[in-house]
Amino acid sequence: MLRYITKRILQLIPVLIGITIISFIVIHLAPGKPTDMASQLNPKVSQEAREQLEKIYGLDKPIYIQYISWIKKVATFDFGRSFVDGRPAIKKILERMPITVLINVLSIILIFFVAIPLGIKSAVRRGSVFDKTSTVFVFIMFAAPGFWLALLLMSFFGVKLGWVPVSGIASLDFENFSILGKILNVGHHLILPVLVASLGSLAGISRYMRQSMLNVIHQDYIRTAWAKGLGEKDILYKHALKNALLPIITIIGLSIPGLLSGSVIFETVFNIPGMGRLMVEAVFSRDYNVVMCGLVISALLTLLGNLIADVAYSYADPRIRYGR
Amino acid sequence: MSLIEVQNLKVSFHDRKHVTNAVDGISFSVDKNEVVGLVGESGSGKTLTGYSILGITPKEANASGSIKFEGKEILGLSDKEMLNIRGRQISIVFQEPFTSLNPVFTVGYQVEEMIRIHKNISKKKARSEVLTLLDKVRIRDPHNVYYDYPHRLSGGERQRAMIAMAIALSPKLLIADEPTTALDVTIQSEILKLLSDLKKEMNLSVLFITHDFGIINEMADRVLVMKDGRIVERGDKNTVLTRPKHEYTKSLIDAVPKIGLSTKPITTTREIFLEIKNLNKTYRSERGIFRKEHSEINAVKDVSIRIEKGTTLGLVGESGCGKSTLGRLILGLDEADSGDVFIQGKLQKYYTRDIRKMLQIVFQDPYSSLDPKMRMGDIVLEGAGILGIASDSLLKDVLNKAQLDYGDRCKYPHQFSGGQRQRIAIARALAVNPQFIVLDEPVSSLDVLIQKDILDLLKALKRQMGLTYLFISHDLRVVELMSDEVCVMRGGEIVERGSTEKIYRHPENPYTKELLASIPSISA
Repeated sequence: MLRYITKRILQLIPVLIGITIISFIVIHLAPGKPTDMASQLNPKVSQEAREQLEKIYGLDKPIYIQYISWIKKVATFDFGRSFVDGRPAIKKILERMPITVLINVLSIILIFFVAIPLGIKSAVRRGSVFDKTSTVFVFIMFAAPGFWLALLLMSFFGVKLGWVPVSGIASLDFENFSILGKILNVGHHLILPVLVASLGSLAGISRYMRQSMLNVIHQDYIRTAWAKGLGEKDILYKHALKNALLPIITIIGLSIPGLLSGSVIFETVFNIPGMGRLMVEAVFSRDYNVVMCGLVISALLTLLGNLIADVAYSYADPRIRYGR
Repeated sequence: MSLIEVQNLKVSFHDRKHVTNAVDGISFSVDKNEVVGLVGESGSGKTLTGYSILGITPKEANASGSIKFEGKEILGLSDKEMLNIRGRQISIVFQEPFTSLNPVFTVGYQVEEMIRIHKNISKKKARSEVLTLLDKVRIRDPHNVYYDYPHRLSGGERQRAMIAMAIALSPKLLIADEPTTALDVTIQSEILKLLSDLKKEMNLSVLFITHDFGIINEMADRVLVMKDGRIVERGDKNTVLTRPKHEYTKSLIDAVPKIGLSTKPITTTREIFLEIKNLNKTYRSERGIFRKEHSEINAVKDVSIRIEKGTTLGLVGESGCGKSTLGRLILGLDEADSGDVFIQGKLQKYYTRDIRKMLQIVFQDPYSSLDPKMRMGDIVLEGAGILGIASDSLLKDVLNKAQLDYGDRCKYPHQFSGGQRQRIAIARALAVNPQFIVLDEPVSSLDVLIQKDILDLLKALKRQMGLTYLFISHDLRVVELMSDEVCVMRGGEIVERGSTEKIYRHPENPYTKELLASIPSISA
């Protein structure tokens, strides 16, 4: 087991390097440079000053040399400084990361506790009113664009009913609250963002769950369970569920990158100071170091998420655990 | 009073327009300590009859009539009311040992569950009961099997585990639904022996569902013959077998291939079509993530054979003996580690298009070997299309040869029956005008009557077109009907070879003798 995980982690290294190369090239190919703000857009800056500025940042060298010097520094965990405010890139990312990760973890938990029971119930009561309503509901959620849904929910629950705050992660007088008060306050602010972040995946995963459960219900070993004299509850929640969950593990692992990229949308809409918004701002100002640092970290999170899903899967399925 | 009394049982399926009576008003009974054989082809309703007794028919099915168990009506009871009967009073062994056990629970757990559902006993006590049961069904090493997951067991072992589960609570009636159909012939005879020993020991009544009159002869006291949902003949086993009244029963009994009748002399042309010398193939695999296992399987070990033009070589052996691998190696579908294949005297290193069109194959499973999204005509002509010889007249010609209807050329595979699908596979092979066909278990998944038709067709085609066959099968009866010469394969090696008459009349190798002795036969 340990050997397998070590092997998988070692395999991540070349993948990660590949990701950095591609991202590095793509971001440098995009027109514009980080120095534009200070030079091109300012008519008073002379050509010499402009070149000098580029030289300071090493932007005058060919791209592969830039990459090599970048990756050398990254190997020592030095991601360079932001071109915008001169602060270390890693620091900027790390201070924004907790809120993004928190929202994503909360959404995964919500997906687990809503999508899976929903899928099971739809499968078991296939063709019932419950199944049909949830099918319609789920498809609307699936098809609706996240930002639009976010705005709709904001205007209804936030503005019209006034139940939840519509932006930010904490109230203005946050500092004056007790610890419990602070947690409740942040929680209150996160209700809508978490909901929006999870609805799309929730819809998809509940459909997968329903289909997976339907497949399993028709397997021969379920017929065996009936013939044994087991009750329906035991058959569904013991014999069928354990098998039906197997493919879902992989799918949840695969949905992690989607959640991360979704962060950009809901953080912008809800004005949450998270990693997604930071990344968008960094891309607009061509803040190469911050963009690359953010990409490396989210790539790492995605790869680790998939690794955890794979390990969980092979642990859950005895056919993989013990081989044939 | 009979143990179980079925009266006018009907099982029907409704869709929007049609009502199909899968079981159409049958009545029978099973007495205490009696084995009743229920014989019929697939689709005759015999399995549904068994499921109706347990109340485990599909949800869409409507059952009516009466099923009395020890005088009490049990048809139409709710799932809740049936719980006490299922497993405890009536239990079942299914046809598919490979899929009937839940893959994510250990074998021990699944047998134990059966006991713990119905009896309120401690885990420890249940466990010792399970070990006794596993021992009773003659599973080697019950302690290990107890903690093993189903995929680690062979088909025979899984079926033994299913039997252990079925007899765990000493039920009064055991329904055995084709329990040996998916198993090799030597395993089949062991399982049949086990079932008849258990029956004697535990005073079981058995409803034995099968399509094989050979098995009926070995197991049953009384026989019911079922066709299209009705019982067409019933009676004492010996009477039905020796003096069948109904035409259908007669044809079923006739269709069972008999053994040891081969007398035909080998017609040699002395022209060797195919020769292979010292062929070897080893599969290596790394399995398991948590406990590394490296395994090597010598699928084919130093095999040499030659087939004369216009003859059929039968290749017989149990599953996993390497017979299918050998077929694939000859066709170049898989690469041998060492050894040579000569076709018409020429060494084949690379299979060129000219050679490939001479060599064709028909696979065992007519359900999965045809592309479900392609029309029948397209399937048949695909190979010919690659060679640039596809035409409507060719299609007409090969469909005619395979006895298929030209008018059906636009239908999809699922619209054909199993036998017709196998004809499509044969037509597809014929379309490129081959000289040699590997027939890899071509009739193993077909009913006896259809089996006979397909075998007759293959024989006729061989005569008409001068074909040479390699006929691969685990069924010795079928191999005898088809072959001029026979090779018996075991563990990747050929253990005995010779003319069909010699192998069947005077076998020398002990394994060949064991195989022959395992065949359930009608004439006893």
